[in-house]
Order: sequence, then structure tokens, then C-alpha cells
Amino acid sequence: MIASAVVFCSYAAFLLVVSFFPASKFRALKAFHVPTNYLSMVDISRPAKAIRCIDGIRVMSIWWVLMGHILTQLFSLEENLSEVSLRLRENSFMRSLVNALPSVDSFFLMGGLLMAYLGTEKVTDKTLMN
Amino acid sequence: MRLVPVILLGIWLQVAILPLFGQGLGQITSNIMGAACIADNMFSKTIFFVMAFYDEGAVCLGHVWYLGCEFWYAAIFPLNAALYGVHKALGVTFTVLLSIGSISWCWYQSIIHNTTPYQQLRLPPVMEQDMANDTYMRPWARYDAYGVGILFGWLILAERKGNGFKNFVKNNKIVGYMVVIALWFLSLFLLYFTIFGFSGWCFLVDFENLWDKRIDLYYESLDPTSSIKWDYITGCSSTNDSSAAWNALHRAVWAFALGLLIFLCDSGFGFTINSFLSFTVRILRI
Repeated sequence: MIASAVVFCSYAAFLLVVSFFPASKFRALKAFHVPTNYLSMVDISRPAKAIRCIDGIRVMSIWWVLMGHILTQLFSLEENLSEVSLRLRENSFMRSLVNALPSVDSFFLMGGLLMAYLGTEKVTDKTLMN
Repeated sequence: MRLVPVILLGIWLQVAILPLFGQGLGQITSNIMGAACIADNMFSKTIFFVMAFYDEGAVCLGHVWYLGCEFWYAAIFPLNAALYGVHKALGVTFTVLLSIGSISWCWYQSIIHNTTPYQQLRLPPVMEQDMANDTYMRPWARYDAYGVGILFGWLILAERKGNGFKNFVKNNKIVGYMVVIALWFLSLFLLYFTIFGFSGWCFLVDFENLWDKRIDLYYESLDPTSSIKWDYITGCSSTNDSSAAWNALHRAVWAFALGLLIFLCDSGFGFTINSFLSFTVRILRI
């Protein structure tokens, strides 16, 4: 308990020290700069280049992952697992919630899509080919 | 790298705080993960995203396995983009080949392990001893969805620049809208099929005697020499080949269907679905 409090306090102190200076001072420690990260997290403005429908898909996928994990954690504690699983078959909505595995592929798809959409020109502009 | 502070905080919670709450729902896995973070160098393997290359897998902070995969895809991506810059066909071919590689890996593992068709998971008794052949957390098993994403990213990039699809629909109104409707049907059908495909339309199911046969089928599917697979979640049985085809392709099919949906929404043919998915709650601006 004490050790964990010490770890947490030193981490918080480190974050405070980094956040006290402007973000431009320590480019290497930018990830630990709380104000910059907070402002970019709560920023809801979207540029014209943004693919807007991805936001909705992302929200639905997050909820799907959460629900799937909650339900499968229950599975690890049940003694009548096969009975419950067979009963689940009768409810298609519940079955789709348990089967949350495609949501992971949604995130991979979005990762690849955004990487290609936003990153391709950055790479091709810098290479000697163009 | 911006995620490292959050991961560090997560590991600290896992190791130091969660065990204080004792046993409960989810605590069993949580405590195992907490203990794993301080053993076998799993801490450093996790924050450098290399855990997927070890047989232990992502035992420390399990959910981070996703980043362990995507980190490496992003690391390869400059090569995809550079080849795309040289010639578009070259970049597309490279991405397709990588995707086919992971599809083949999933197919091969499904064949040799007699895997059930239930998404990516093997039967729980087999899973633990089989991490070396895992098709779930390994970066090379998951590239297909990412590869399809890259292809759709390039398609949307080209569409935003040239408006090729939009102009095609405008110029050929009837045929154009028929194509849009057909693509919407294709996308929604494949999304539906990936979730419910094996629940209702299995390949070898005797629905009439399903309830009586369930226990026999379940135990028969545990026998590695048996050709019948029984998925105890969706209640389906199938053959080795059909379940291998499903296990190999369903991720790419899901990614393709969702990518098509995003493409249609982004090129202005999303109608109500697009306005629903793009909806913003402007609480912070009030």
C-alpha cells in the first residue's frame, strides 16, 4: 500500500513538473504533458478532411467490446456454462453481444484506413521518388 | 508513444491497486495479469509492444495485445506507402499479398488444429497450450483487416481528389443509384452474415434434434480425430474445411463490408446511416 502510494505520488509529481513548462520545451516528453493531451482529448472540432462516419462506428465498437468482455467474464465463473451457452442461442441480440470479436477487426480496419488516408502523402512527399 | 503513459498507469493499477479489492467478477484474470507484469520481463515486453512475439502472449495487461499488433502494422506502413508512391498497383499488390499471408496462416492453423468455426477462438481446453499457433493475438494472423483498411484508405483518398464514384453516379443516374443500392445491400448483408452466419446457417446442423444431440456433439468435437466441430456458443456444427474457410476469411469479409460502408458514407451516399454515424453531441461547445 505504501509502496504503491509512493509510486503514484512520484508519477503525479513527474506529470506536474512536465506540465508546468510549455509543451514546446520538451518535445521528447510531450506524451506526459497533461494540458496538451487534455485539450486534444476534449476537442470536438472536425476538419473538412475528416471521415465523419468513423466516429459513430468507433463509439459503437467500443460499447460492443465492453459488453462482450462483461459477458465473457461472467462465463469464466459459471458452473453451468454449456447450459447458459445453449440458452443464449435462442436470443439473437444477446448472441451478437457475446460475439463481440468482429469489433476488434473494426478497429484494425479503421487503423489501416486512417493510416493510408492521412499518412500516404506524408510518406510519398518525403521520398525521393516524387 | 503517446499511449505509453496510459499503459504505465494501467500496469500500475493492475499490479498495485486492483488486488486490494480481493476476489470478484473479473478479478481472477486481473490478478493473473498483475502477477505476470512483475515476472519474466513482461513489463518491458508490454511497453515496447513486443509481447506478441513471445509464447506467453499479452499476459501482462492483456488488452494491450491490440496495440502490440497495430504498432507493427504501422511500422511496416511506410513501405506500403512508398511502394504506392512508386506505382499504385505496386502498393496495392504488396498490401494484398500481406493480407493473403495472414488469411493463409489462419486457414492453415484451423486445418491442422481441427478448429471450431466460432470466430477466432479455439475450444478453451486447447487454447492455453497452443499460444505458439495462436490466430488471435499474433500480428501476422491479423493483418488482413488492416490491409483491407489500407486499401479503402487509398480508395477514399482517390475519391476525395477525383470524385470518380460521385461523378459516375451523377452522370448515370439510374444505373448509378442501382450500383449504390447494390453496394449497400452487399455491405449490410456481409456485416449481418459475419455476426449471425454461423448461428443460423451452419453447414451441418440437425436443427430438429439439436437439443438432444448437444452433449454428444460437444464431446465428439473435443476429440481431435473427429471431423465434426461443435461450437458451444452458437450451437453449430461444421466440417473441418468449412470451418477453416470461415476462420480464414471472416475477418477480411467483415473489414471489407465495413470499409464499403465507410466509403459509401464518405462519398455522399450514406443517407440516414451517415447522419446517424456522424452525429455529434456538442455539449462542450454550449
